[in-house]
Amino acid sequence: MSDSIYEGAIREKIARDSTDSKPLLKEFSSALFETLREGLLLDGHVRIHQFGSFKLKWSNERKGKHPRTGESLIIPAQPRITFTAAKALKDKVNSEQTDLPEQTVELHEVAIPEPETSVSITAEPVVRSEMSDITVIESPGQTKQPATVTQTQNTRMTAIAATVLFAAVIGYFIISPSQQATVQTTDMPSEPASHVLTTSTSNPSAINSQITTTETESDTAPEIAITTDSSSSPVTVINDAVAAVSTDPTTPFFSKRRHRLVNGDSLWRLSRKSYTNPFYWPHIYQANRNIRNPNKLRMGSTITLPSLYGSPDELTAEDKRNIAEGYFQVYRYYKKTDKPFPYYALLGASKFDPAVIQDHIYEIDEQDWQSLQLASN
Amino acid sequence: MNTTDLVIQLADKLSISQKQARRMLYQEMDAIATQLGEGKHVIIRGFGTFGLRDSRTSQQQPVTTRNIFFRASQKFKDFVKPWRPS
Repeated sequence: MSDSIYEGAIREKIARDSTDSKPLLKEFSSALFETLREGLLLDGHVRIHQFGSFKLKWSNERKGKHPRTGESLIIPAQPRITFTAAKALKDKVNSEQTDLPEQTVELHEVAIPEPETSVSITAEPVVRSEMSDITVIESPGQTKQPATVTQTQNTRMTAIAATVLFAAVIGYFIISPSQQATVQTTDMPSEPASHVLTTSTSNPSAINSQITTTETESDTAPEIAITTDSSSSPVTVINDAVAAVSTDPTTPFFSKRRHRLVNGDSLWRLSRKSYTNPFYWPHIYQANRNIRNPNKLRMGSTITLPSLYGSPDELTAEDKRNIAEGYFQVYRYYKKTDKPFPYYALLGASKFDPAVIQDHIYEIDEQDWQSLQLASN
Repeated sequence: MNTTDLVIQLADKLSISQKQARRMLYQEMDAIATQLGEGKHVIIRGFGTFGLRDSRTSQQQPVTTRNIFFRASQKFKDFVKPWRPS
């Protein structure tokens, strides 16, 4: 009970499941408590929603006794800091407390109310007369859970089987000496298990056709072309395949995919993650016309991360053009919303593809054009 | 000073958005509350200690709830010394 924890250790815990960086968290908490102190001094009270309120109260001069020596002394008048916990905090602390000791002693008493509450939400009003019967109540809650468990087990099993079989299929291609095959594979976990099951039983020619059908069916999944060489040993085959993927001009460095936005995502970060260079973020912006403000993304919505054909160091002309177009769209948006210094976006566009600037020259403000000329010289 | 004032000031100091400041504030407070719920004292240097105390009034009465207390650190007390009630 007398265990204590310092704010640094708490920050470690926060950092574990937060998208914020550690330095920011540290800066934040020091700023927070500093602001609290200042606010209390200036205002005399600080209230934090769902946590509690700090207040300053005045204690008059009073007589007291020294706690150790017992001699009487006069305690001077001074402000006193009080804290009143909010109801939400009290409830939270006390609910977490009751969970701990009751696990060992009162398991029966805890177990019964839980199914009752879960059933009262789902049950129809007709069944309510039977609520007193515990066996009836418990059965739906209990039967549901094992079913879901076996389902997840099943899917896991099939996933494992799929990967094993798939490896076997690939192994077949590598081993067979006469085969010169080009296999188009989709991302392994998303591959439906049924296709793989059928391929394992049929003959080589059937495998080829089977795989091409799966490839055509899955249109959204990224596709990686793996070319297998029959003459060399399996290890070198894989190395060759990887080399082929990275150098082949037809294979994009980054294949187009969909991404569901989660907390902490920004175009800058997504670009850094996908294309290794954060400055390519307008590339994502221009591919998603539903994003209006590039600085404000809606969490939970899905966006497209477009393909990058060249490597991040050697962009192809198409990539450059796309990114420049993206920068120009950013310029348009900044101009429309009166953001300061919109010509920065123009600068980006001219860096990647000056032709884009020439294309849209009539949309550019006189002032921005001059700033651009100054900046580029 | 209420939560909104606090959030505005924090966002200003750290040059982050108010939304983010609010989220981080709740995140921090939530973490403190969780630690309190686990029965730990939370010590914040230069500010004070949050802790739990059983709300038992007599030996016979069983402990039903736990009260939260806050003890300000000496630094904090010294900081608000100049304050006078209006």
